[in-house]
Amino acid sequence: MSVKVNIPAVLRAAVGGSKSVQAESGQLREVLAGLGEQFPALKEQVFGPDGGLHKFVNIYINDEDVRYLENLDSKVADGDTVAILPAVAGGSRQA
Amino acid sequence: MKLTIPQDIYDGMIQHCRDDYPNEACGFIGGEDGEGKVLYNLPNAAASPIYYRPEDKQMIAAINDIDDRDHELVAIFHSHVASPPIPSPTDRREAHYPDAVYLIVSLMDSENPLTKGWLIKKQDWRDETGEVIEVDLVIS
Repeated sequence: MSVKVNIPAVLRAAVGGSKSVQAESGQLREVLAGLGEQFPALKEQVFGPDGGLHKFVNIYINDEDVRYLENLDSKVADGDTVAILPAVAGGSRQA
Repeated sequence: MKLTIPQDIYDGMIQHCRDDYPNEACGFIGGEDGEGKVLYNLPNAAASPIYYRPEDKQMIAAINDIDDRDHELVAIFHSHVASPPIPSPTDRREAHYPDAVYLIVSLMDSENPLTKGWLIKKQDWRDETGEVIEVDLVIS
């Protein structure tokens, strides 16, 4: 068993066009590090300059936002689904 | 660029915006080749008249359904309850889907909602600023 990682359209070029890829289970940081070795361009776009998740990248484990779990320390078990999504937000607020 | 939206999807989007008034409403339209085919009305987790953020679980379900249908996310819509359908600074900063049309439904005139569509193109999709291009909307 492994982990399914769903890739958003804007990042598919970084993984050869796939809608999803497989990764090894572990802490989220390990899952992403493994993906980063396979797909360096994906790693570049998911992480910010401080080494944490980029502020406009949201990652979900089984539909739960990892910011409400343990962020990069969140556990990802065999059979889990990880989703990477660019943030969706906006509104008429002027600043 | 042009985006075609069937009348029933357009009407469903407007109704969702009216239902969530006085807060902003939001949702997705899935489709292909610049034509909307499926409407996904989503709850606004921010529950605010000036900000929207789709509820996570329903947003992910919508994204998964779009993928399962081999569709694309052709539009991300939200309402402006008291301002024109023009991207605000917040809309521009928080737009990270360069291939999706950002539809804004203005309810300033509640009897006559006005909808406009925009592409928000950035050098890098994570950038905070970019070029705003109006898209021709065709309601069919």
